[in-house]
Amino acid sequence: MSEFLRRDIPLLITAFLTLFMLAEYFIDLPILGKLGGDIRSWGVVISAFVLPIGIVTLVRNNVTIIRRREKNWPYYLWSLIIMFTMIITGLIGDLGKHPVFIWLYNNIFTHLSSTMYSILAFFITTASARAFRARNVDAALVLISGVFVILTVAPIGEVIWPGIPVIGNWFLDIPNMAGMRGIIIGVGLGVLALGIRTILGYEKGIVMGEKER
Amino acid sequence: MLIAGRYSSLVFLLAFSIITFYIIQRSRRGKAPQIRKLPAIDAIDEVVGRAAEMGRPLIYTVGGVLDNVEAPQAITGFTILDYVAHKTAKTGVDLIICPRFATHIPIVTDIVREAYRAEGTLDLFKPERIQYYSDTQFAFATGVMGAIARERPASFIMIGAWWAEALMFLETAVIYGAMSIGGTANTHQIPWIVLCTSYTLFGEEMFAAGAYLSKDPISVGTIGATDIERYIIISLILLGVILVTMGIPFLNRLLSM
Repeated sequence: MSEFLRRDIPLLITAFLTLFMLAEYFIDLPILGKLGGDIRSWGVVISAFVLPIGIVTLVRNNVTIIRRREKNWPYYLWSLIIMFTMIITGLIGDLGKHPVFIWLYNNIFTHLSSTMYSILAFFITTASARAFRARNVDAALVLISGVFVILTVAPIGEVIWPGIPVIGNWFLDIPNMAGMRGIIIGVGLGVLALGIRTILGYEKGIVMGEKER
Repeated sequence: MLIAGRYSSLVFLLAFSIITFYIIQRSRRGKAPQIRKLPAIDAIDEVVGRAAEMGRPLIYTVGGVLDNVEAPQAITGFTILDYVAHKTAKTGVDLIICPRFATHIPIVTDIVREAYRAEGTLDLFKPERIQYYSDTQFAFATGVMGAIARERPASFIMIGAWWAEALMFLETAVIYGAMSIGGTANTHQIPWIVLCTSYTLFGEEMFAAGAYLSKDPISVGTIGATDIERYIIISLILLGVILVTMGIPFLNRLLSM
């Protein structure tokens, strides 16, 4: 593929759309608003078209692994069975209304998702246990502020001592907020720099594996 | 013509863009600013080397949708993937990629294939190692956790916009002894990523990674410009605090225009 098609056309489209969306944000013109809405809809449509690519990739990769009987191949087979069961039952009759699909969704998918989310409680505990080892001054500060914040959000904190929520909220509202806002300002500036590099074609991530210049 | 309440944003955008273009011009004339080291980027060689020495895979995952504010983080993830793929192509490390969304699949496939082609090891490129699981958050998290548990990677890299799934990956990586590098600009996940990874890219470091890796003076110039812009913002904050303390809300009114 020529460099013009591979690199220049995507960059031109990116630059034009970036400038257009900026104009739509700042300038009060109905035509810009309408076109901006249309462009956002194109993004949604393109994303919807890409989903089948995901399905095809998943099927192709899993079939390759199953055919070669690679390590853990039954997991890949099971993944395909589950995916096609959900797709087929979801497409039968009214979209997503088939009783089998609804049963699978309500009784398996929802509960598995809740289970995965609840695992976070254990992960937070183990990660916190590592963080709360006061090996140096920084870790000791994390430990102290962490204990106050935990006791602030837990009802027992105020029962132990009414000053705990006051100190915990101070940690949250002053040092924590200041640090986070500093990071957010830095992120904003970083995104601006990334945007300019992208429009000028110096950010490789946007031109998909471009060869070394 | 201009939308009320956005005048000051427009002025800042134009001013900061002019500063950035000025610094780029200076860099073109050979006066590129120096940027500090980013240990997380320097550590990429270390994690790839670890995977090569141990003969175990490296799992890489990119987060962030491409049609909203998360997109810059995903682009950073692709930029770093390009660098990692070149390294794994050279060293023969088994690279497993777990794209967060279906929209990432064609991009990561192309990045990795081109990297292997550029290094002359296209025969080592295995499309089946690009393992897409689901666009659904916890289905994807389960897939990545399962991949870590099954493949026992020596190293794990996750770059992009992460939510609750970040801690799930990282704790699983800790359990299975994988050395990890994490990167995000999502402030609510930064503490966990700092806590659980060996090296972290957070906040603006994420967006400096592309310039840092390319070493290109023009790209580095954009990073130098953000330093000047940062000093302007800090000066305005200090001026605003002083004026408000003196009972003069002039700057507040000006910036809310």
